[in-house]
Amino acid sequence: MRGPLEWDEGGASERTVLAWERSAIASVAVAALVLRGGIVDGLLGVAIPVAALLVLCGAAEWLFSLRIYQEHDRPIGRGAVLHGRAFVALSAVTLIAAAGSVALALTV
Amino acid sequence: MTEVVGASDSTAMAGRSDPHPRPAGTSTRGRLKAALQQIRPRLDEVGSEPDPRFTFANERTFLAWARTGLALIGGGLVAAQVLHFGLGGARLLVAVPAIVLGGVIGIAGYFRWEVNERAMRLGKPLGYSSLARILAVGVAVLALLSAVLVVIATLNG
Repeated sequence: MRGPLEWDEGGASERTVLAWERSAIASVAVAALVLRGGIVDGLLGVAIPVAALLVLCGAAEWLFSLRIYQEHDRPIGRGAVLHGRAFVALSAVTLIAAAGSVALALTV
Repeated sequence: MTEVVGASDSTAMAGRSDPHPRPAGTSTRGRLKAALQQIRPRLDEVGSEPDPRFTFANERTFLAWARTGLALIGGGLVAAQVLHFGLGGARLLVAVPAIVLGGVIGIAGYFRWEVNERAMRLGKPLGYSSLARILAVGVAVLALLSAVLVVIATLNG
C-alpha cells in the first residue's frame, strides 16, 4: 500500500525533466548563435567545434531527461539518483562555449 | 536521518598489510584518491538520501543557473554581432563581460549544487550564496553600460 505522499504528487520529476529539456533547447539556441557568429566573422574553425559541442550537449541533455523520467517514474521515497557527472559535463560545455564566444566576439 | 559519513574501501584498509601489493603508480594514485576522499568524500558516500523532491529541486536550480549562463553567453554574442555604437570596439564592453559572466555562472552553479546537495544529505541548513548577488550586480552594470553607450552614440549622431 502506498501512502498519499509516497507518489510524486507535486510532479517534481516531471518539472525536472522539463528543466532538462529547456536546458537542451538553450544549448542548441546558443549553438546556432555561435555558428552564425562564425559565419559572419569568418571564424568557422572556432565556431564549428564549439557549436557541435553545444548541439551534442543539447542532445545528451534531451536523452538524459528521458532517462531521468524513467528512473524517477516510481514512488517518491525510493531515493533519487545523483547526476554529478552530467552536471560537471554541462558546466564544462558552458565554460567552453563562453571561451569560444569571447574569441568570436573579439574578432567581430 | 542516519549518518554514514563514509570512508572508501581504500581508506578503511589504510594501516593494514596488503597481501597483493599494487604497482607503485597505482598505489600512489590510490593513496591520493583516499586522501581526497577524506578531505571531501564523494556525495553518495555522505549522509543519507534526502527526500527526492529536494534533490529534484536542487537539480532544477542548477539547470536554471546553467540556462542563465547560456543566456548571458548568447546575449553577449548577439551584442557583439548586432550592436553598432559607432565608437570603435565599444560593443565589446557589453559583449565580453556578458559572455565571461555567463561562463562564471555556468561553473559556479555546479559548485552551488554540490554544496547544497552535501548539506541536504548531512541534514545541515543550506548556506547563503553570493551567486545571485554577483548576477544581479553584473546584469545591472551591463544594463547601465549599455544605456550609457546608447546615449553617447545617439548624441554623436
